[in-house]
Amino acid sequence: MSTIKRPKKVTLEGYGDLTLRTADYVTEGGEGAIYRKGGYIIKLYHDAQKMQRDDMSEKIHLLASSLKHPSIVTPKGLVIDSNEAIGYYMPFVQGEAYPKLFTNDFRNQNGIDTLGVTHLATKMHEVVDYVHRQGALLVDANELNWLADIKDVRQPTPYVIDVDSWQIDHFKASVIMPSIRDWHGSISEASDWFSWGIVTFLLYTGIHPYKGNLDGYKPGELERRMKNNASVFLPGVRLNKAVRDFRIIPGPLLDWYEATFTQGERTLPPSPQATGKANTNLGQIMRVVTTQSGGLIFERLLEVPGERVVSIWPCGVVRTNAGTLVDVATKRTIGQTSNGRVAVVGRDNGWVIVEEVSGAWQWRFIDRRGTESTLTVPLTVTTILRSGERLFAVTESELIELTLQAFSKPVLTLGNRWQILGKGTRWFSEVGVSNILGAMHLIAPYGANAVAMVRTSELDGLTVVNAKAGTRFVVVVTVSHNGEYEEHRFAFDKNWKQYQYDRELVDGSELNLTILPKGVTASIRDDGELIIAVPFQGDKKVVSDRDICTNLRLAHIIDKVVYQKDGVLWSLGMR
Amino acid sequence: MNDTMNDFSFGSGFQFSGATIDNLEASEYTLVTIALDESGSISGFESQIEDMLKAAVGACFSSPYSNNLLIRVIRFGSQYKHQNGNGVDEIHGFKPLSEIDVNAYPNLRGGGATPLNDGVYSSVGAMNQYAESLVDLDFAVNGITFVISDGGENASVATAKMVKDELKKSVTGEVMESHLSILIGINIVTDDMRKRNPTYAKQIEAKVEQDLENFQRDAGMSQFIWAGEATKSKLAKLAEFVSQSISSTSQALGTGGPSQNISATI
Repeated sequence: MSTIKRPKKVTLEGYGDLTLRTADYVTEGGEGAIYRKGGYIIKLYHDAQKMQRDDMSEKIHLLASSLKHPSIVTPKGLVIDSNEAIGYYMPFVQGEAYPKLFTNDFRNQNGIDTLGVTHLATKMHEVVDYVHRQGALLVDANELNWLADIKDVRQPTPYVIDVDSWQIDHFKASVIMPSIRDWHGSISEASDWFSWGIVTFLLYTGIHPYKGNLDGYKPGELERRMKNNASVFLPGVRLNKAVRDFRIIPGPLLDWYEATFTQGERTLPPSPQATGKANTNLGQIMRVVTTQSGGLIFERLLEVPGERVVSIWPCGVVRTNAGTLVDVATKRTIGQTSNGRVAVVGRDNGWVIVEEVSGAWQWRFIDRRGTESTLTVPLTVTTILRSGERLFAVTESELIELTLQAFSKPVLTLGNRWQILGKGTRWFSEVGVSNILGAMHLIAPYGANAVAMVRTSELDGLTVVNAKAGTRFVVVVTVSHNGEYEEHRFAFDKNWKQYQYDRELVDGSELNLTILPKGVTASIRDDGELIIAVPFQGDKKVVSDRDICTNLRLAHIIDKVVYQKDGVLWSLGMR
Repeated sequence: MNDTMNDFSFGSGFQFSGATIDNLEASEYTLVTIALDESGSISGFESQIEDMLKAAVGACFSSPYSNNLLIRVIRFGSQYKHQNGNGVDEIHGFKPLSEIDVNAYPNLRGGGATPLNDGVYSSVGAMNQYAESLVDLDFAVNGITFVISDGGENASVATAKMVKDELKKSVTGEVMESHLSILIGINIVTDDMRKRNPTYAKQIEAKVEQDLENFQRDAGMSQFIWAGEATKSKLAKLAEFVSQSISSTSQALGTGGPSQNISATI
């Protein structure tokens, strides 16, 4: 009888006697009831006779003598009652259930990041390898049979339980969970690695490798997907946005996942610590949201473990809240910055980075191999202006374009200069708004080497609080004395000589808008609507999509609209 | 409503709320609805039923899949007919477990007739609609619904056909991977009544059980469970059953089901 009704004295082999009480009861399953007593978990079989028939005593002894690994919760010995084995006992370990670790909210609450997952997956890799070297198979090491001690989230410790179900010597395993089963082969070391792959893939991405929506399969047809190798790597698989970017997976492991889950290959997985570029093409894996206007495509571009993307430059570099500069295309960290203002422009062979540190501007060049060179600018710079990939120093009286020259080492030289009224000019995103004795002007670089200075009487007498410029378009936000915000839009001809103007009352000073190099703008004013316009042509289109929210911060990288939300970088495009 | 919840409506005058999908942080969810009969006949048993609800939801926190649950709790009684949702009052909409405070659940107050159709229609209709929204955005979803009642239908806006249609839709596999709907009957015949007129008490018990069983069969609900007397210990067992069923349902979504025998096919 596994469920005790009154205190029961039992003997634990190698430990001694103890009394189990009803208060020690934890739970029960198909095979037996579980009790916890001090540092031990005690399993009492429902059917002690069956335990005898299955030679479980011998198996427990074999497991106990064969498997000694800190992450394996090996049975320590039998539980004896009246000279009869009625169960076994094992150490009590405390850990989090893996399904929790798959979800973003649990990870965010507990600070679990990709580095921690890689550590966990590495330790699990060691466990599986150890078990195989001992001549055993785990067989049913599904996500419910692993626990993670996350006291140190950087170095979590896995524990594998349900060891009495393992295959060892002549003792065959009898059960396996369908979701981790290798439907293409028999129980073997290879099938154990397949199962390890499923569970670790879930840890990295939050989704089973044969889930996600795929045409031709109904929801829940997991077994058929597994049998057909119809994995998440197939083009056309649609994933929800809670799924983490596959690019966070170490390259060699990502390639192994793809080969295993899609190509049906069965090889030993690389250590998750192995580094290198992945060959797997992830370009087709995206989240598609159908909209009334045809469809928007959201694709997760970059997530920096433990950090949040806070700034995005058109050259394809982002800055995180920790000051890390990351090249989006290669996912490589290219440098570090402090908390001050920063601008980054791209060059063929690297990036020019200018940064405000303690009120002074510091300049440097980082080439694509990571070599960093300090640059000097012999000017008293009050601020800097970036326009596309052009970079300007602003002084009290001039706007000066800076050009990178590749001599024996990179040098910034002073290029064209434009007279400005330094004290009367406020600088915003790619544009200056100048108040020259009450006459308002816009100062906007355009083309390869020109700067437009345009008189805009519409702004006379108004207080400018925000502005943004791009190809043939400037938008300025003003605030009136009674607190009304107004957006003023100037769409220019190609020489920036003439403009079309319109104005509109808006809710605030924020400009959630990006201007692509070809002059197309994308903006969000209200939840559920993306406005796409070509101001100099007067074209405008509203795309309704429930996933568009005002908290998506729009920007662009080259000619692609991107946004950051919750610290993750996404791209956004029309289908 | 707050910024973490959205409002929805369906049918004629039925409403519900659900967590803003954009804020969800897991790739698959089990939707859970617990619907409680709050008609006059539960008078005297309110606190036991409240405790059962708290225990059932509270126990879900220890599930390995606790972060994959979205739970909705409603109560139904004809006293709610004059507010939005017909004879149904939503205690909370589909919400992540982590955002649910079981101690903040309102006290039940038995009163009015039993709009059982409304209770089931609201439970399943809302689940169907919310599941569709999730599936549209490529989330994997399954569901489980518990309707706990002490008596048959006698006061609904929703018709039997409406209930049947929604239940049918929930199990096609096109929206949710699976949906289990369980009608749980509880017996609220008091000890006093049993002592005073045992024959009559037995007749009442048998009739309620039969009415509910007929309802389950006619509507097409997956299962009927007669929990028996609404005693503290029986309701505690019922709470355990509810939380274990939720846990199994969420495990089925995550893993396709429990471990299976391998000898036959490998």
